Amino acid sequence: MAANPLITFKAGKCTFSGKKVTPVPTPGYLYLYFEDDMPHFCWRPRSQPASHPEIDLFMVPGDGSFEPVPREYGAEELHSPTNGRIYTLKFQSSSQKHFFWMQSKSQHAEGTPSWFSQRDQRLGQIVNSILQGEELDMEAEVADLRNGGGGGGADGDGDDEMDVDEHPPEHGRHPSTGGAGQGATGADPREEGSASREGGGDGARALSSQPSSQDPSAVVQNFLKSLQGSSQNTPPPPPSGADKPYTTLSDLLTPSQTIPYISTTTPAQLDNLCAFLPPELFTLSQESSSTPDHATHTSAADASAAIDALSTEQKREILVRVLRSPQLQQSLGSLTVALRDGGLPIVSEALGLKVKNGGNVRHASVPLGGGEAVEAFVDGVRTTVEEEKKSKS
Amino acid sequence: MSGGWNTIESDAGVFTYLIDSLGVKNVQFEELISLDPDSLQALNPLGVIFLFKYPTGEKPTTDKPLDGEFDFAAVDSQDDEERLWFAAQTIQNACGTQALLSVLLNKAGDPEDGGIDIGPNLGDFKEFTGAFPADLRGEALSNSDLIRETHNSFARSSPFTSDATRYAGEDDDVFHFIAYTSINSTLYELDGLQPAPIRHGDAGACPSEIFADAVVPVLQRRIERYPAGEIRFNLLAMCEDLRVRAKEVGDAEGLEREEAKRREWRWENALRRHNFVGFIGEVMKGVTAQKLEEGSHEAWIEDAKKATQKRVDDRKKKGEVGGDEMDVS
Repeated sequence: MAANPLITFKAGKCTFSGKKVTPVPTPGYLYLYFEDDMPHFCWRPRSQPASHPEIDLFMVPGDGSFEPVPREYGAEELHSPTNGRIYTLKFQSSSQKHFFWMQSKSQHAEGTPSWFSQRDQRLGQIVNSILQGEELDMEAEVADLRNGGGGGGADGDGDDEMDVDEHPPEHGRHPSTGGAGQGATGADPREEGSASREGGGDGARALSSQPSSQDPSAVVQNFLKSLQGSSQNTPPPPPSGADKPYTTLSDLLTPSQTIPYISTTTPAQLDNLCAFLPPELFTLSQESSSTPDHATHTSAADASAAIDALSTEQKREILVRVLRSPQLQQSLGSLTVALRDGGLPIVSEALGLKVKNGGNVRHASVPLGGGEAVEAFVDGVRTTVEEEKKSKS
Repeated sequence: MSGGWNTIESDAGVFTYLIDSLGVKNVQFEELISLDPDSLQALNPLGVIFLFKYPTGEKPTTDKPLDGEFDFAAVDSQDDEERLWFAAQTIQNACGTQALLSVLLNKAGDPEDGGIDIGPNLGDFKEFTGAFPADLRGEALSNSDLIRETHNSFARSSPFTSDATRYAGEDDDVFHFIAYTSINSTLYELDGLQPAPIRHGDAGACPSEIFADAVVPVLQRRIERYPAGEIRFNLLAMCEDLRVRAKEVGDAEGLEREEAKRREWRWENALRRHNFVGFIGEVMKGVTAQKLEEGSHEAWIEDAKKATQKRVDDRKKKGEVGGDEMDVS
């Protein structure tokens, strides 16, 4: 099912006979999704939902290729022989061919409609790579498109924000042989793509180069902040559809579940939990009226001294109070949001959880999203706990 | 370009420690449960902060306020002593802190004479912005690293939500803050979205001692502007540190009560600042381990899923959720 398209952009289909290609004006979307590890190449009119593609081609990886149709090969700038931007989908296994035209507005400074911009070419290369069976860092690719694309961006979820080119290209002749589209532009775009993977400011990418000795909570906090700031720039992974809310951390860790748990903990487990709370909570419990009230920084020594000074009962009381607090409830909510919005890989790494595929969609570097991500998180906790138990016994 | 300002809760504990962190001495906030002149008077208030959900219907007026008079002269006065500190609001999330400052900076002075010790940082800020026009003062405030960083240090640990998911209790309405105080024995309303301070009553008719009595009817008229039930508001009084007062009059019980309140506030602020991710991870693992031992893991998940689904269904029934939107809060 086309539930999780990897990439989607505005494109129209064409009819052709012999060398003559005729674009069909219907506004549409070209998109790709994976099912059972196989890529599907789809096109639908924009008025139809993603679940009803007019074209849904099941592709064998490596068989299909997607290339721009150039006017000349080896030219510095890539122009179409028509007055629009035409791409062709070809197969090694057959002589079947399809033509599509880009429906996003030309990015050319003077509006020349036949000019393939960097972004256009990158889009084509991404589609081609997917059809070839290459693994792409989709998040990086799409972010690059947004950054380099001059305003619009294709994201896995749907809309290419660039304006529609109202006029489909006039049909023209196309060269009879394909290929060599990439050579025409000079620099190997695949190198560009991977270099940009290391750079960039979004927390998700930056994480991969950070040492794992960093404070995990801080790492996740940075990610949460990056979501706040860049929610318009970072494409969230496609939601898993309106039919699977799964559940939330708030619904799982309600006080009625967590408080009974506290009453079963051993003193060692209690101390472990206390270590994850702000030290002031423990020094405050010891305070008398005469203690000055400006102490905002409690040293680690003071903190552990304070924890040690408290009885098991007192520690349980503090934990119960925290588990009931509105501040924890808010955090449960925001961590759920983080998981749903693509933070699963970061969160699971920070917490040392064993999550399937590292929290990504199978076969892509796109993080899981929506209810699926929360489910993967819950499963990951379970797996981790089971393994820890086995290794102890 | 200033850095970002996060949302902070409008809570007496947050505000008290915020101004304390800025260097203000001996001032605190108290929440007012009722609009009763006597209980307000008992606090000997320096000012009142009125906060409410900003109604979309009411636009800031430019020629005449709905109640009171614009007093442009007070801001423009050449006399340093007389001139009122008033700033135009530039950033929504800063408006709480801005309202607090608008009272503090106008009440700065020798505590012996009934003024507030605002500390060196705010003292410098007041001097620096003294001759500025209102909009420039607002800019200076939003650009002040110290004020912004202190403000942000009290921000919620979870300041964002995505469109698809909201957590229970989240309020994404805009709150607006207005300060009322007596300056130069005159009752003023200081609203950063208005072009000038608004004077209520005659100049000189409101010395600080009668501020509580004078401000209550003004607040009542304000509240009555909005249809009953349509406005949610909160009132915070700014007053002298109540522990100091309790000590001065030898009220041991009162002192203990105030100390307990302070501990409560510090507890809440500690939680507000805390990053709970690691803690949640440990609790999740602990509960999961317990459920696996008891053999109730699946039941636990299923119950949670039912609760989530019920909430989604309830919201759909109320028409709060669109067809495709997945709201699982």
